[in-house]
Amino acid sequence: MKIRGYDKENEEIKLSMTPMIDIVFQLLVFFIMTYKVTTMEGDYNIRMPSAAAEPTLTEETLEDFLQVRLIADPASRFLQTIEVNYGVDQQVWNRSTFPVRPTVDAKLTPAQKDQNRESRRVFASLNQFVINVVGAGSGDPGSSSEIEAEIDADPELRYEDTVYAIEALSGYKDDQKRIVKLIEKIKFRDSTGQ
Amino acid sequence: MRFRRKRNEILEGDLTPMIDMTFQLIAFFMLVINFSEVELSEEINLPMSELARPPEEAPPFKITLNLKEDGSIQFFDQRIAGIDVIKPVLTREIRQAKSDGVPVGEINVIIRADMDAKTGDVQRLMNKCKAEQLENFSLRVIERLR
Repeated sequence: MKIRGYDKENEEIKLSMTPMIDIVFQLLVFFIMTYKVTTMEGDYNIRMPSAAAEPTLTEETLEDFLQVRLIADPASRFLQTIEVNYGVDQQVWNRSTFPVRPTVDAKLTPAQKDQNRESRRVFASLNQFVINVVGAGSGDPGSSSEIEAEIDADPELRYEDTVYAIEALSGYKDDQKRIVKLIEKIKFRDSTGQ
Repeated sequence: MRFRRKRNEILEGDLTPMIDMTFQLIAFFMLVINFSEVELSEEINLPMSELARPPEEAPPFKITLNLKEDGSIQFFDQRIAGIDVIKPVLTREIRQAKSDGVPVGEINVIIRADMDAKTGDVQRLMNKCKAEQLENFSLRVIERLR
């Protein structure tokens, strides 16, 4: 017997799309909500072996020893002076004094912008000094020198400025945006005595 | 007769292209999702640097310490009031690393310090770690966008 209007053979099987679309949209919303735009983070490696394993400074090790002293401005905690001692005769490179700098994300007045540029220039000249010290001998990118740098930073100094100093010591970007390494052995001086 | 039939049918658009696109989007967002960021505190403004590059290979064991401006430390969701009381956390992590077969000297301590933090605090934190025989440090910075 044939039931009218119910022709099994000719009927198309239709999936109900609605639940699937519901779930798919739920998933989509979840992934969109958890999506976070992040900038790349990188590291500066610092090796600090325990004091016992550390060799004492002799004439020989002093040859490749660069000491960077960072002095903060007491009021603003920004970097005020960089002092660099290098080599056997411990020649002093520079005693550059910074103007007081505003923070990076603050709205800058033209005068502050100029000061900011000034401080960038001092870090750039520190970088240039290190390039000269490391010398043309190890010109190819990727290789770093044997020179060891020790940072003696004011405890009150803003960490940001310390990082700028580490950056200036550790390398630079050449014209092709490749990173050229300068000093890889960077450590902090044990000044807090703890 | 024909007109009547049509009126009773549910009007249904073609859903296939929309579902295609939606799946594409889901696949994209699934691929970019990153669950490894739970240990990174968002309250910290990292200092910026041009030479920032992510490490070439993942360290065998890492301890990520988020040092805030006021000198307190965030370790995963644990808030540590000061540098002086970090020791229990370090001992626990070192024990964990040892049970994973990683010697203390190879543990990588990643310091994510705020750019307004004191350099002295960073140094004090490193000294605390050094006292526990940790000697591999990484100072985390963020890429400067030009």
